[in-house]
Amino acid sequence: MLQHLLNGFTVGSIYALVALGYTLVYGVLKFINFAHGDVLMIGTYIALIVFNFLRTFIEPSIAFIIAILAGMASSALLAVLIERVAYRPLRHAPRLAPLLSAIGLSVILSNTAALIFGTKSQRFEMPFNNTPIHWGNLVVTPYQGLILLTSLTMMVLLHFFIKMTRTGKAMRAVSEKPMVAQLMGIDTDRIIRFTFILGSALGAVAGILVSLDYKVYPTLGSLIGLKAFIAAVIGGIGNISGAMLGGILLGVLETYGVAVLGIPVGYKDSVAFVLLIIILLWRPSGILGSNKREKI
Amino acid sequence: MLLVKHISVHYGKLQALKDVTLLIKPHEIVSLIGANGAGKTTLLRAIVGLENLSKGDILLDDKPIRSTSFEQVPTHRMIEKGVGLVPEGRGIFSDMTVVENIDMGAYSLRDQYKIHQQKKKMFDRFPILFERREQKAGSLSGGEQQMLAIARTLMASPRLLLLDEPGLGLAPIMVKQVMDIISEINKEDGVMILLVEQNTHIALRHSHRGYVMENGKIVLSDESSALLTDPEIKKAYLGG
Repeated sequence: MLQHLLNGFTVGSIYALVALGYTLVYGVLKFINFAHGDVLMIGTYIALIVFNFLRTFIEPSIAFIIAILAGMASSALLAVLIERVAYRPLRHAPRLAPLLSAIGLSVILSNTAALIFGTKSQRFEMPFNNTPIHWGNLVVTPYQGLILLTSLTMMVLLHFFIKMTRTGKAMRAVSEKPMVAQLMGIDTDRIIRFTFILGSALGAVAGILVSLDYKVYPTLGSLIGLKAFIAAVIGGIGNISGAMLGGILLGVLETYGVAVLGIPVGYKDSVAFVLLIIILLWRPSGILGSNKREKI
Repeated sequence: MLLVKHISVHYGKLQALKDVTLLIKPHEIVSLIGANGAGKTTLLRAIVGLENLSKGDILLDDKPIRSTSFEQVPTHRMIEKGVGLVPEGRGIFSDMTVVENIDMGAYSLRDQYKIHQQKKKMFDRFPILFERREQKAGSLSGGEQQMLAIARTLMASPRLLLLDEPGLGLAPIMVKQVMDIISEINKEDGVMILLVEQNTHIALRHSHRGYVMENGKIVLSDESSALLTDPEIKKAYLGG
């Protein structure tokens, strides 16, 4: 039982990191950035290239850390670019317009990746030893440990950032009342750009971490993006703790679904959708979402 | 000094402001009265750049801040320029605490000592906000929220304070309290005030001069005391 919980938590924390990207951007723009998954996929590829290049010169674990930073930076850069050319010009357009722009970008990015990197999946070749560690009945792989440690640290840091810092408070202000935020002297464009940077950097970390156990391929972002989006909706889109909760919950339930309820592995992904339907029927605004009627 | 010079604002084909000219002199409280939809809120929004002008310009201390011809000051720099707007419906950040709202008012300030001084000043002036500083701002009463909205905007020490319906939805006793605070701010700090208020009687009693708007136009302006006794105004806005 505990083993499944641990495995579920590991997957869930990945979902949570990606879900944060959706929820942060939704918070400030009230818009679902459907290109988020593909942006993190590109970051993961960049990290892979950097890693493969550096690995021959330096210690693989150091190369891996540099690769993560490179992946975060390139995802962030790409997100800023996308925001500038594909979303900002549509800021005052009907809400469907940026949404379609995002979906279009998602298709463009995954196809471009297939064109440049090929459709064959690649992997990070053992940045460090992955011999499982046994604690009584519990088996933990170092990868799992790394995923849990990294994602939990990032979530805690994000929490304090949003709560305590000047920019974090400004993000909350823009999220609640963008017009009033401007009157306070907050440059909303700057805050929105920063939100994209933050969300996509977190996403890139998730993409890289998940590729340790799986692989890197051009549609990597689509499924993890979809799952994380569901996690964000389950937790309450726009709510930061909700994204974390939704991600972990989804990961744990998926793992339990397969291991305890005996759902065939092939149907594992359906757990997320069933959960989404239940939540939408029972609590449409998500577990931690507010019931405020949205005014446009 | 604020000088609004012959401005027009259009919403698509609809003209919301027609050749509006208005002046606020130093140390003055000016009230802007008129029926719903007369264009009062649009004028305030135009001053801070939330609406674009189709004609005319706006000068603050003889420096242009809005016009149709050259680069304008973006809305988020208006507070640095000394213009603060307390929007209709108060616009407090209800998910944030009272003190966080106050902190947002200080966003344009960089000097920590100055922020600290201003905060102390605000809490002295509005002791109720100090008592409730850790509460979610959304849990405050309407009057307290209005105080918070005013205190928050005052954090940046504006030279010109624009108030959009500060008495809206408040009990008469609270309206009076809020108006007294506005007078006090004007007297003590010399802040120029442009007051938009549905309650014509109270607005005129608390201001030096008044402008009357109808259908996007200024139709009358005079000393507030004169407007209070003007038979036309009495008939149209003061209920007899």
